[in-house]
Amino acid sequence: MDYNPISITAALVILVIFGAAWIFFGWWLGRKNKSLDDFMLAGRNVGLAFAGATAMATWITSNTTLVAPQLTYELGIWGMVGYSLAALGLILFAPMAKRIKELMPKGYTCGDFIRVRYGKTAWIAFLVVSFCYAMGWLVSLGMAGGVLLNTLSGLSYHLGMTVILTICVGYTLLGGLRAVIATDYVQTIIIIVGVLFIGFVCYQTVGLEKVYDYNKEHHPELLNLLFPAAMMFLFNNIFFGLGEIFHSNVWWSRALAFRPGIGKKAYLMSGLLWLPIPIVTGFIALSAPVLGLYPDSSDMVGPMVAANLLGDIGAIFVFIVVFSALASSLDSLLAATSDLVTRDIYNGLIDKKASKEKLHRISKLVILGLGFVTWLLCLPKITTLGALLNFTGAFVASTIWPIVLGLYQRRMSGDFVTAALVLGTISGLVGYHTIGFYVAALFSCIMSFVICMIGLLVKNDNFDWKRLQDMEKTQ
Amino acid sequence: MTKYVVPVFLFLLTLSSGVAGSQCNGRQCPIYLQLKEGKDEVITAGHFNLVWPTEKETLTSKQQALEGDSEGESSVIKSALLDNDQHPATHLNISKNQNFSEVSHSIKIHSTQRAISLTGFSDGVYYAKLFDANKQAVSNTVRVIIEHHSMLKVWLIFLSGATLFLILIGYMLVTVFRHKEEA
Repeated sequence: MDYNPISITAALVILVIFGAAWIFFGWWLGRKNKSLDDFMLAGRNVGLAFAGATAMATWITSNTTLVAPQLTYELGIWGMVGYSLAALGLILFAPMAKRIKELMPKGYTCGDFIRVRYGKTAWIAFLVVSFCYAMGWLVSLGMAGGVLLNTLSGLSYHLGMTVILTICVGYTLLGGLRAVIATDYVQTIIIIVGVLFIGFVCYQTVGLEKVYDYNKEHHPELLNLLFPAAMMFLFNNIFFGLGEIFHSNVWWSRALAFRPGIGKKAYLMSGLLWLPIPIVTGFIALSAPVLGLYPDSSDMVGPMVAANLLGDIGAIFVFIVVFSALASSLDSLLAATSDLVTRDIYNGLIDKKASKEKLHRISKLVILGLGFVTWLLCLPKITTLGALLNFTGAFVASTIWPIVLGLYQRRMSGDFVTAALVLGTISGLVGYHTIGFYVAALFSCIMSFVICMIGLLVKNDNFDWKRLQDMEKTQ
Repeated sequence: MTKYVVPVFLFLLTLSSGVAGSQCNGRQCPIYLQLKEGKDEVITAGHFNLVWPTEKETLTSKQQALEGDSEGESSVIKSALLDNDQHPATHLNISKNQNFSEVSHSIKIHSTQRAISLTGFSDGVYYAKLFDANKQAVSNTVRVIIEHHSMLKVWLIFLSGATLFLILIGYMLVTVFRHKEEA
């Protein structure tokens, strides 16, 4: 097999066909959007099948198809298991999704909740954390597009990244959340079938015994249950996954968009179905050394092994699967971040009296702007996908306790939440730079927990839940 | 004066050691191999990256002819889209001995490959070098020091994570249960 199994022509043809299909789908679904609720929250009427599929497709992202193999390749068995346990984020969010829908039926974003529940200072701190995370994830997805095309076809990283970003911005712009959810449904089917098929071929071709014997001799740390960095990574990744889901508007907007009673079931189902996926993609990565495959960059290992196993034609299949995974997350994140910027920053801070029609227009401009900023930040490929994502772990893990306590505890006060967000993030960043990416989320969560517990002990906010029903504006 | 002399001296020292370390059988090595994490960086997770950057001027006309146009794409477009400069290395060897008397890993390298990500190494000092098809060295030797985190630190962080996780799960179970009762 050649170093790049797909020709540039084939890669571009696939991109054009799928890109045109997604964009047409987005436009077709977008015709039904009449209001801001339609564009942002798909009319707040999404059923169980679409709800489960969109939650799962969004969580199966470049993270699962590129970063899960990367972390297994770098951190071995614990990397694989740790990544898989990120499913706990979806599972534990299930009851919270129900609570969110009950508490704020008129809400639009997670920022709405923080603003009303904890006040303006905590809201601003939360927006900074949330925006840093969203940009980190967006950039990682754009980078993943470039890496994917470069690995499989040899197309330059910059051109591949630009094309994929353009396609995803295009159909998100045309269809809003309705298009995002519908394309997610199709993409979920492609991803699940693809990943399982590749995993099966890998198991049949290489086999568990060979993987174990070869790695034990040549890469012993990958199988070592006392692998130091991997042991630290285990709980770090759980907290990273929890932080990602608990705080992110990607998941809150879905909780608000689903029909009443659907959110809990959808998140529980998608979490349980997602759990084994990183094990499959991780196993693919552990097979790489056995096949004599050592990638240029560890985030390329998944597609590289899959393309090698399936041959040149199979590589096209791999390309379609990973492209679908990328697109399903990129569009969701663009839509959700745009909601956050439009509702919380523009409507909350700049133009508080903006009409819904104006917000609809602003929302589209924000999607365009986000796409452009993401493209700019993707240009210098500064680090690997795994390292970039875990950098954002320092931010998001600080939000776990403020969100959980905010939903269930009247006592928790905004001042302590602000401190928990700021000091938690700082602790995470210190851990990231002094020890490694595999402790950033853990350090952040520990510090945030300590501050929240102190807050619960020394101050009682006695919050009135009814204030969330009306989504009162900030003073 | 001293503050200007010292950096200049250190710069010259670094430059001269780099040149001395890049000799292949008495001649200048065609490829300069580097540890991406940084020279003499101690690797704490058993995973590291080696790179040997492109030097466009080394591309010969013979190599250009070899690249061909097998996919039917114009060579102009192809050269604009692909990073396909070729090099003579065919293998990357890794050894625990500086003289490569016993090679622990011999990894095939593609002629356009410019980097490699290696993983799962235990504590120790390793040496890496690129070789061509005739088993002649074509790069300098890179030294990689692997020293995993101390287990004391690891257990402390691991147990902190486990404790916090149990507290969170416990809290959520109790809270969700109570919330149901209230409902």
